[in-house]
Amino acid sequence: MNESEFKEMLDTAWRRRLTESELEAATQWVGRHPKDRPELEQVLAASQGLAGLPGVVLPSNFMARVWDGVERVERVERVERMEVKVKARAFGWRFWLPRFASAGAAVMIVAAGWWRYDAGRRAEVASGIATAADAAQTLDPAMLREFEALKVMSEVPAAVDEELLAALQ
Amino acid sequence: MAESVDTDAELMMRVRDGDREAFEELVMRYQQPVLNFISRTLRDETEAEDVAQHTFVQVWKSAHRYQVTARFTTWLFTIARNLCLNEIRRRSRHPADSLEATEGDESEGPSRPLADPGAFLASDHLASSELVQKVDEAIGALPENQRTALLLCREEELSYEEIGRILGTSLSATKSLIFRARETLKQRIKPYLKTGEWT
Repeated sequence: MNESEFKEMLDTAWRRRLTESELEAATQWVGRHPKDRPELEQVLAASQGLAGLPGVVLPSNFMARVWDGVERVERVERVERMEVKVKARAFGWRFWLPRFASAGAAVMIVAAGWWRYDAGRRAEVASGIATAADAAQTLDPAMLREFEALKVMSEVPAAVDEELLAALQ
Repeated sequence: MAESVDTDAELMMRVRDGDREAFEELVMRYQQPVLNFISRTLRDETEAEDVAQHTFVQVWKSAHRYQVTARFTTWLFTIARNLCLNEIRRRSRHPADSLEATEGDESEGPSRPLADPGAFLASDHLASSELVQKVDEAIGALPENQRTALLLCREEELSYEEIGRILGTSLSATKSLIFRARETLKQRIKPYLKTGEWT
């Protein structure tokens, strides 16, 4: 055994109890190297202490408790999945369809109203144009003979009109 | 060990497909080590039973996430350790809950010391039950990560890499944790080996 093998054996002693032959080899090593004896003693004592640590008594119904736990978790998951489905259903087509239908109906009513208003307005414009066209057909060009005089009259300041009115009165 | 690993992985594959018998086989195989580990981490047997039960429930629930690349025990003890940490956090939020357990640990020590009459050089000087009690107390006083590393190394014979994976630490950090835990234990034992009395 060399130094590194001794260190390895100490590591092994921490992990498990040494076999008879391993212990004998370690004892021989510390016989030749007394400075290593305290460490070996400490490690073996600690190892013995670790090996002697009390084990917990396993409850006889442990497996049943595990299955209970599994079933409880699965039940919770089932309920959660169900809730998700219910929510999905609640906010699914049954939830949205009436809302979309109402909104669609409102849009259609507004559109129909606008269409009727627009159609009425167009009819009025068409009727006005037709009246103007008729009037244009019946207009006598002689009426426009005094056009310039009439135009000038309309440009006379209002004050003159008022003076004329006063004189007449 | 390699054979057991293969079987664990095979069983987990079956558990993934919803095989209840395979799950029961795994529980039977690891219920005691898991319970011991959790009990030594939490220092409370009643809570340990609940957490151990929850650990296996988690195994069943998370079976679909198990990767064959990871050794089953690494995965199992990672779950167990995470649940222990949750419990420790819960206790720290409600200190009154853990006060009783801590006082019990200090005053009574281990409830069922199992003396191991294994040979060691100073066996003539040591009352084994007293030694076990002192080691148990020393382990209880270790920081959680050192205690977990030490227990996994001892009880489950996991490699340093596997322990690191469970703790989420690097290989060197894991070795350091185990080294410090072992040193603490040795320091606790040293005076007794010299004088024959616990100081």
